[in-house]
Amino acid sequence: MSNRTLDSHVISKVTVTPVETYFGSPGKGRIVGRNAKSENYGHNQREWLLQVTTNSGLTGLSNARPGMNAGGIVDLYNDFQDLIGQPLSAFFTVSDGRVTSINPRWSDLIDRYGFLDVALFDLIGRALEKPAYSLLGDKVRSKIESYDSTLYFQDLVTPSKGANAVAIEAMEAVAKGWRALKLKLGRPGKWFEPHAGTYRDIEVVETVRRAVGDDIKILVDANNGYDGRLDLLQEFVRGISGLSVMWMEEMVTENVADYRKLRDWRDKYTPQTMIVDGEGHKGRQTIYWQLMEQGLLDAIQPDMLHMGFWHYHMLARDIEESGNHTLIAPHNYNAAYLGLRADIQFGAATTRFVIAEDSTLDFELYQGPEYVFKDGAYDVPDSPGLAVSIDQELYERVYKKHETAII
Amino acid sequence: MSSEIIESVFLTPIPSSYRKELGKNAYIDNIGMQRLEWVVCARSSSGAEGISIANRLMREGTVESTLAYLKSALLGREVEQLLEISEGVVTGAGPGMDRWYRRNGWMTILAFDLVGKVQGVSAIDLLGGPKHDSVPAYDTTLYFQDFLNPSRGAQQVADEAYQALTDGWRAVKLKIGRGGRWMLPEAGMERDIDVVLGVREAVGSDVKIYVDANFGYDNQFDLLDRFIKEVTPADIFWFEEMITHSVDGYKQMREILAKYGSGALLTCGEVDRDPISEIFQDLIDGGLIDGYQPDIVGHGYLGWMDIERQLAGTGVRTIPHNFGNGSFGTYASIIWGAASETYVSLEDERAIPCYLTALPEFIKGAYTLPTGPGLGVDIDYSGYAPHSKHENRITV
Repeated sequence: MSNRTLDSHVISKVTVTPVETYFGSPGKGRIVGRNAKSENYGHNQREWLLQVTTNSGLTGLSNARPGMNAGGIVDLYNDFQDLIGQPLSAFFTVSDGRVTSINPRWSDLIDRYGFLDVALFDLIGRALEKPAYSLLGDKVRSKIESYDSTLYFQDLVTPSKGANAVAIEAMEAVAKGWRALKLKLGRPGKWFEPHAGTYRDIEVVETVRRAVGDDIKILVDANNGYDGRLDLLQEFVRGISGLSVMWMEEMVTENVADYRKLRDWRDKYTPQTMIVDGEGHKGRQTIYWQLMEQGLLDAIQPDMLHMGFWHYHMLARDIEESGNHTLIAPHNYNAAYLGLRADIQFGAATTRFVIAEDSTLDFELYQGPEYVFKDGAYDVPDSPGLAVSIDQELYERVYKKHETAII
Repeated sequence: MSSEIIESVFLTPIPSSYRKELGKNAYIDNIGMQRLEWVVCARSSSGAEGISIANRLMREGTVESTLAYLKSALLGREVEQLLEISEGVVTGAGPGMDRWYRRNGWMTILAFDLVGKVQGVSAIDLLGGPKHDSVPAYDTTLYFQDFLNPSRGAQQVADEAYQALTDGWRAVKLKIGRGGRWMLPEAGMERDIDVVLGVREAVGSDVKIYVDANFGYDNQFDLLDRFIKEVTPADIFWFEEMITHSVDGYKQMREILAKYGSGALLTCGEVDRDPISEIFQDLIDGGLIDGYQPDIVGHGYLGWMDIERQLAGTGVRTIPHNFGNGSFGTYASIIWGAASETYVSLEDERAIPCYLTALPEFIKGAYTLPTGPGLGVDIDYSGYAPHSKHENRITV
């Protein structure tokens, strides 16, 4: 039934358009600094807005940035040519309002460009007049908590303030409504002398905890900055004992032996803290299954836009069927506005979902009024698809100049 | 000088800021507003300080590995061991130093600075004395600014070029090659043309315009031909890295330039990590390039002395790359530019100095020559103080 409805919506146009925004305002925004291994993130972020339009006038949205990060516009232009002329029924089997399988003809493309299926779910949802999450399953929560993910090595951006530089921006995030914050750590990895870096990491967690109080969740992410320094990692875990850290992410590159030690120290010093990892892969690689099976991974984090709805849904099902207790906390840092909305939709229908990664950006181009943000959480919309539209007048006036169209 | 030894070395990360946000080039996403300079300062027993930046070493390394390197290379070493000097002019590395300088040319700049300060002579004199009265510079901050301000398109770059002119610059470099990654090839080429013609109109005929495609026209000779045809009337002074270096490709470019009567220089070489490597030697020997551009700080003064010796008689001019070297790179480039016979123009990213004493005066698009010993610049410790929290110091 659903697929028959989708037959009448045929893709007639695909466009990709860069959309820039800022952590603050152009020229005045805050700079998001280094993590354990990379240079300054910068003071802005951009989406590569993907619009897939049908002859019936529906448009599905996504963020093609993963594709642009991996290649260039020519790759997308060539690879998306085949979408033109396809009915919405071509990609998935949809039965009783649920996506139940993927058409093998399209599985490679959707596997390569996970973000594409976000636009397709948006379209299918609009065509069936159902929210995107409902294509995966019933709503299991009506609000999605998110964490501010922009607290990098701000102490290296404004050195005179030291650890306080992070605490000041943490307090600003709390004032704007976030109730969970992720602190980038791993200073021993590259930018600091290792002992000084460990000391600063602990100092940052202590200082932020003191600044924001006990009610705010603090997550930490070392981007594997303790690789080869398990002695310092132990010192760090001991150092955050009593600071009520919600999770430790990528403390070292994943391997069973190091993770056993990490778990032992976690159990000893900060037993309520989760151990999470896995943003760089799609979740089925041996090491993640090994870690899950051995109870060493409390949550797995493949990227939302790399996975897309369908593949992530399949991963959640696989974990469920395996009997492991591992939860799901999608990586979403580069995903900006549309990726966060996809994350919210996914979380609405996924029992194992923990919390959404939020790069805290606001884009004047997008309109998604149902995603009301209050007390650190977003409402889950019930309007069709992603429940996001774009300001057409603004798009035509500002962004269309850089649009690449496949017709 | 014989009793002078290096008693301490510090390594300190210091953010250097641009005056505006810098956008994409043909293949890299936005540059942003701030870069880090990994400042290395070696202090001798008399209190003289030699300065450089270790950005290249830190790119692959860590603070821990860089400190270990500095300890072995510099700490406790006699200053007179750093350089071989004959009749007041540096002739090469000091005894045993070649192995330390080989992959870390930036360290030779520190050596020239420290030796110059200990001896009370300018690094320009150590390089053989000034060949020019001033060092012309070009504004190199005109990236894909149209992507940052899409509604203004090419006009955004023209406006910023005009601002550079107002600020005193008499030469600007425009990043082009939009069809390499961020736009479809033809649309990118058309925008490139709009940018170049728009900038020429904005700055008038007296300002030099250089263009740099960062290889953005690779495999697009038809588009490259059209681009050169359209912008030749705008009097382009040089075309940089239009395509990846190859003898056949550069022969084709020469032919295109000749076809349209362009007298522009062809330049490349910033990517040459081991200059002069074979392919660039072939381009030089074949008369296919006019300017060669390995990085000034990356290869350092000894490296560039060697390059200049090899370029002698070829007609190829020295145009060291300098982007990413922050405020220190400007000082280092002024010294080299003053002493290099065939120097063309200093790549100036116009980073805002925050930890060094004042730059030489900038008059009519050129820097006057510094007068002090060494590089003619010192750490400004009042500006440095906010960054001292992150200082890593090793001592004898």
